[in-house]
Amino acid sequence: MDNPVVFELVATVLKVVLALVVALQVAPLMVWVERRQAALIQRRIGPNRVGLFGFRLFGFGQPLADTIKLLFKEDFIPKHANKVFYVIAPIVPALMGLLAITGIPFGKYVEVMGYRVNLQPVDLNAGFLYLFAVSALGVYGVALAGWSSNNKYALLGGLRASAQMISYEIAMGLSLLPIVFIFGTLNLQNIIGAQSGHLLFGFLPAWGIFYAPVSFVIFVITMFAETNRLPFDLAEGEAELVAGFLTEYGSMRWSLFFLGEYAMMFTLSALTVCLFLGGYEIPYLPQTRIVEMLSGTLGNELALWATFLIGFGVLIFKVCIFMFIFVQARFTLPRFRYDQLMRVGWVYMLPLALVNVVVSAVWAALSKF
Amino acid sequence: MGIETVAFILMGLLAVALAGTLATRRFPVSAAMLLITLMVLLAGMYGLLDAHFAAVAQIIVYAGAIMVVFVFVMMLLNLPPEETRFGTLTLGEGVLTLAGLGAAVVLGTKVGHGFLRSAFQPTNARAPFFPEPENLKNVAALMFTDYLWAFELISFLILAAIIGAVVISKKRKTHAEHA
Amino acid sequence: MSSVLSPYFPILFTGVAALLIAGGATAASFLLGPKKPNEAKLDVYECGVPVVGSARQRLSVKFYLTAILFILFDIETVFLYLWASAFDMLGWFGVVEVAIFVTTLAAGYVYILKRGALDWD
Repeated sequence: MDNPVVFELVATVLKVVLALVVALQVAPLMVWVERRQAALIQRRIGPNRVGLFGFRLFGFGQPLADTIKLLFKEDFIPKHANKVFYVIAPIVPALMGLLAITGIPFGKYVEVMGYRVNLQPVDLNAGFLYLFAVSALGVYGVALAGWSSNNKYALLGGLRASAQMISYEIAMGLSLLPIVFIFGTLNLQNIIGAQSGHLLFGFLPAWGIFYAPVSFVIFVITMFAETNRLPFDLAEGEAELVAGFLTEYGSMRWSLFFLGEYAMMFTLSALTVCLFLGGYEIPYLPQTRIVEMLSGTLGNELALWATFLIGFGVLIFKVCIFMFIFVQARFTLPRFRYDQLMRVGWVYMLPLALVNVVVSAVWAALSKF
Repeated sequence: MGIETVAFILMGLLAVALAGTLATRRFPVSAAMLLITLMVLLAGMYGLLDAHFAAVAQIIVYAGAIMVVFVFVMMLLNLPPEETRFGTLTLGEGVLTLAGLGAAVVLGTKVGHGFLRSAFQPTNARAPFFPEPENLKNVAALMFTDYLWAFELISFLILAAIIGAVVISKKRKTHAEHA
Repeated sequence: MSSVLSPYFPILFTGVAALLIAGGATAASFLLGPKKPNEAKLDVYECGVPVVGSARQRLSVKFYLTAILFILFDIETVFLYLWASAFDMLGWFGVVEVAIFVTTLAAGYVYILKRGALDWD
């Protein structure tokens, strides 16, 4: 372990494993949460029977039972499907979802044996543009699934999903520009750092949402479209397209799409939290202060670990708020009609995002120079 | 030879192999998917060269946007396999293929020549404006100094492309079509 | 952390791990699940009625134009990210240059709006 290369290899593997474990927990848990929350909204009971170790806990064992059920489902390839692409298609969103989640900073850093370990598994020079790159590639999973199934519903679903993603990606990209020039960096760790430690007008935490509220609104809306969630889920719209691009899929291949979708939901929620809501930092109590307070009793190394755990909890809590909104929106809002959806993207969101960039740039330049 | 050099050479060989495979595919969707993989591989190679912005832009623009159009065309035209026409190579196509190969050889040797020269004698490249962690800002600094005119002209190029795309694909609505 | 390894190494590792997870899950359900194929199950799903025509037929080209416009505005966004990352260094000069850049493209946007290229009906 004296060798820095070996040390870094181990550290990288552990960080990636942490991210992957989070991603793999999100999908089954969220399926259960969605069913329970839907039941609450619709005044039903929902899945509350399966417990763990004799405790029912509102049906907390449901995710596990669902996973086992899916494993034992029949795995078949329809006769008319293009076999190769039918098999490849579900792997693409799962791969992209898992890749994306490694771009999230789960904490600031910990120190192990004198080395400082950055707790963002993938920390590229290009910062969060990495997440855009990965999510841009997610389109192909849906497009391929729709095309290779050789089914009319699937083809229409795939087409719609791709058209929708490319319509909202521009507004999404433009909406985050103000954050970059206000904080002066693309690096998520530095952006989170810039949001903590001082207050805005003496009482507000210096979060991105207060600097760029319009960006926040645009980004959250495009986030729904990018993940194909209601009210933008026309690709799956069960009332007209059966299940869209998922029509011919079943068993584990079907769940891989959801693994990818939920991992992407988590990633984009976490990205929103990092850019607009201070990431893993507690408002009014920066992590550097927590480390100072704890290092007296625990020593510096342990204090950093404890702070990481607290920050991780805070991050998950903030992400959970967004996940709650995702589910709440799904069972509250009606679905858009197709032309409305495209119009919202191109005719309202895009110009709004452009104007927002220009106005924020002038404002930032006035206050900076 | 460092591990990154080995990785770079391996990726380069893989990229050439992928390019060869995709050029000989008869099925357009397979070719497009191989091309996307190739783009991602190229992005990785840019990354290994510390051209981090080029790496991300390669994926966002080429793999994520331009290839979407390719895939759209294939999905929209959507020819059943038996209708796809494969003839023998015509004379014109043969000449074009030869011209392409010739261009590849010239470009390859030029680039190879440049690489050899830079490996053996110091270049007169200017020092970066920003130290290593701010790699992206160097590109921005160059874009707004040496290449400022090019940058502004690009907006007109994009404008022309927008108008061209609309003119070609959107025929002006006549009253007859409205009815 | 001054990295000894390439910053792209975690991506490679995640990619391999993700492929193993996805492949493993599919393989597990392939091995564990029942195998009872029949003609109706393997046929194209069209709500239970006999299949009409093929899914391999031409569709409208509406989204094709959308995709081209997407490329163009995507390139614009990428350029703007370069400017935003060096905002402090470029100062008012950068703001003015980008304002010219954006105005040119806004003209293009107004054009596509007026020509009805953004009507999906």
